[in-house]
Amino acid sequence: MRARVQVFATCLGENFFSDVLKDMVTVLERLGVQCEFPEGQTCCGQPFYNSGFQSQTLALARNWLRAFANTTGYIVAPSGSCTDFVRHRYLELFPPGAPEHPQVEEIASRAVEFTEFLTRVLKVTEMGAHFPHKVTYHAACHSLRNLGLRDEPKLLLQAVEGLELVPLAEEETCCGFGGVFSVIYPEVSRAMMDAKVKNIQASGAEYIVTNEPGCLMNISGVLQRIGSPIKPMHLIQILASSKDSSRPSP
Amino acid sequence: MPDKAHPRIGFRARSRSVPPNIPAAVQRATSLLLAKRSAAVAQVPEWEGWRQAAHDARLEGISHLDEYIKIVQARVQSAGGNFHLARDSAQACALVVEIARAGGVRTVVKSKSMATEEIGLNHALEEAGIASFETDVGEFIIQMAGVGPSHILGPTLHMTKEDIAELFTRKLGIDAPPDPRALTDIARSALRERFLSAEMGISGANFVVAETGTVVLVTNEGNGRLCTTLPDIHIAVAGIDKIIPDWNSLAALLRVLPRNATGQKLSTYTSFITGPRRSEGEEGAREFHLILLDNGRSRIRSDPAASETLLCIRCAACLNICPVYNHVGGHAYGGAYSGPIGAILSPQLLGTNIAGDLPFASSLCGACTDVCPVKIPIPSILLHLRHRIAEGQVAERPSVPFRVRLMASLASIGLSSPWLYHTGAFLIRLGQRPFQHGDRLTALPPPLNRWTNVRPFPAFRGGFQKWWHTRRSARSQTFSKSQNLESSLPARETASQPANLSLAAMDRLIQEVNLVAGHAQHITLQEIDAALATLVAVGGIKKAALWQTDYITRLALADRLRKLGVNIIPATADKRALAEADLGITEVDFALPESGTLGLLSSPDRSRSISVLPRAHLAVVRPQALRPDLQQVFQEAKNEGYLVFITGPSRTSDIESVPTLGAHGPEALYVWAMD
Repeated sequence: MRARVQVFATCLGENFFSDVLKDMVTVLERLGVQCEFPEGQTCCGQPFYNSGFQSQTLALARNWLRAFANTTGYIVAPSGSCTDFVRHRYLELFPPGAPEHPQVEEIASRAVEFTEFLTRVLKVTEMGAHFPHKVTYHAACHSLRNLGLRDEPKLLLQAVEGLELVPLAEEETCCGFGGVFSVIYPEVSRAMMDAKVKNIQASGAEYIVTNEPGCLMNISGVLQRIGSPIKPMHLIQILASSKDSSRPSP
Repeated sequence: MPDKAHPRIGFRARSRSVPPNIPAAVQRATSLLLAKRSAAVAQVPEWEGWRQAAHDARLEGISHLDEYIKIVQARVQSAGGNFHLARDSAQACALVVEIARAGGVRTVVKSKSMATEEIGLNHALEEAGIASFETDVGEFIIQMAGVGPSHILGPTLHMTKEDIAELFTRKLGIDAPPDPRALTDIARSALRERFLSAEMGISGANFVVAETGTVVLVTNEGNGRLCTTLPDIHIAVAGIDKIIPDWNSLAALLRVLPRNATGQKLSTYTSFITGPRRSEGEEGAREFHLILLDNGRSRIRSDPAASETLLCIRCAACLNICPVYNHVGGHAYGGAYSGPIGAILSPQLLGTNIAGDLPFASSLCGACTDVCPVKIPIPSILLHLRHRIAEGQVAERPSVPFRVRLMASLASIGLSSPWLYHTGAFLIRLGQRPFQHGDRLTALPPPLNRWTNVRPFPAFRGGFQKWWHTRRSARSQTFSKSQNLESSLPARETASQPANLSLAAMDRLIQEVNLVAGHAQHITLQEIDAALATLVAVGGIKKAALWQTDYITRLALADRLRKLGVNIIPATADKRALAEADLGITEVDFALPESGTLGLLSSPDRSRSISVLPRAHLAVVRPQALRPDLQQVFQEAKNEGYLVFITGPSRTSDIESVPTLGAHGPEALYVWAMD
């Protein structure tokens, strides 16, 4: 039986991190997985839900369900936050009794985050990646706490040839993104972010890696503002790096 | 202060004006508390099971609150106490004032209580012409400073010892050095006279046990014991949510509360008070009142998506771990409760029109829920409250401005249509050029400048779909490996190991007492004189008071002390005379080896204050006092009017988190294990 997955691009992925999505497909295909991209997907609705606009979320969630209806196999996203949202919060948006509920149970339960898919479904950590650099890892909140991915992303990094994984102090503390929070309370977000970046700088790493586009957007913004030479990368981009590929600086 | 008068809490303005030295002070204290918690939790392999049991015990109480309130009322009254149910802050304050006036009270001593902070009781007493003194070292300091608590456990967590020394010097007119020991001693001596002269003591309650109508107080300094033992009248003020069904629930909660709050197996003092004193010769209040406070809690209960807010046992671990709290401190939350629990509790108590900023003061990172000992789904409740604020509810109008709601509607229409979504993204890619510097947008117009003022925004760039389509049509798809993708996600398993109980119980007790800064040892009858002589010499003991139980009498400790030149104060003497004792000697009715805890009952022979007023306390433990666990002690003692657990000497960490012994109770705890 041929493995088949649906690419859940996420709106941040599609609009800001198209390279990450390309790498995700590349890595999956390298592992023998056939990727499909359901047309018509937009945003899962999380930004609305988290801002309190639950009824505005419904239209987006229905569109997401429509896009992934009639597909088979796992729905793989480069984001633990979006995965968590469709897998867990859709059940609250469409509780038992709602017409969409059976669909949510069938479709949204197939959603998995990329590192979760590799380590828990495919059960692989080694995929021939090569990245001869000093790297540190930031644990994204929703992957860590809502999907329970504490060691899995690091196992994948440790299996990369040439990669030296150095510890990050307060690895599990939020970077201060928090979606709408960072716009409503930018000063607090900034304080959290500055603490995160201080720890990243102290780690001695050349690269800061995480598996969450939101964190990446936040952390890369600060690093750029302060002119830091430390380069932010999505974990998928590291896994896609091979000996032959010369990786362009992100 | 009545709810209506509460001004709107502007979190952004408050969080922007946090003095720069506060986050550092807060983080030093919270990281210490978290480290202690982690160490304590790591010793409990079955921790997740304990959390679940604690959650279940609380949920049972909250789910059947109306019935339990009636049971509490009946039990308190049958124990000879007075029961009151207060609808709101104003009514609760009025009740206290009324009771105080009826009792001719001029001075009140208070132990730390979040409920009385919530209702603004000190202010109400002051207005009624009654002097009210906070006696917790931290509360004493903030009352003097004229501010509210910045943390549920450590009200002064935001202050340095220099701040406190400066405050004492200014307000008390003395030369106070910036030293935690000296500052604690200043507080101790300033408050000792207050304890002795106050006619009324006011406490909160950590739990109210419905089964027997018992008020449970978990404290460290000993001020709570003094407030509830020395004055003639004791009022306990507690939210209705503090009710738990029975003593089994209490055992389940007491094992998680101190561990999760401060990393202690049990806090120094846990008092179990049922009604007023039972006999004339006994110590304790002769008049007892329990005021249960609703103040919006019934409303919280009636909202199924938020009712678990009421499970909170005020351990403050969510504050300690919260990155937002750690950067803004407690005062930014504008109410008695701060941090994640404050962000969900205050809007529900005060109304979303007053505290509607708070549920948005979170990045939804979820760290709070992970450390919650009763498993409150804080992020879910934050989201629910955001929903109430943005879109309103039956009884509540949305408090988010109309233009924001309009923007959300338009955006949701745009994003739920794939065509509009792609067209919009295309137009943005064209329109962003004026703001673009390389791959970043550096300055966006308001309100998006709130992001770009802090860090640049990445430029919109599509490309994935184009890549996808070009590539798919260009290549023939071949796959070499096949994988079985139908396997489900494996469940995570946790192993639990039986606790190692290899140490003999008495040895274990000694070991644990010593771990909590007590001095415990085995003593034989022949060794008593020598041990007493050492104790008297080391502690500079001139006066002592003793329990009158048979065993203490048989040991002839009074005579032995007299031979060492120590004056004996009769146990029947009044509190002022007892307060002069340097040493109090008691027997122990129950001993819990696992936590190094001593359980003491009260009777005319067993003075309550002898174990808390003097600088030194000697407790004599016989093997027959040993009990395996809390449940066993509770089974035997739940119908007693009074029980106190003592785990180590009195302590405070209110000044820069430096543990300081002898806050209000004994500085030294000696435990003799009699063989």
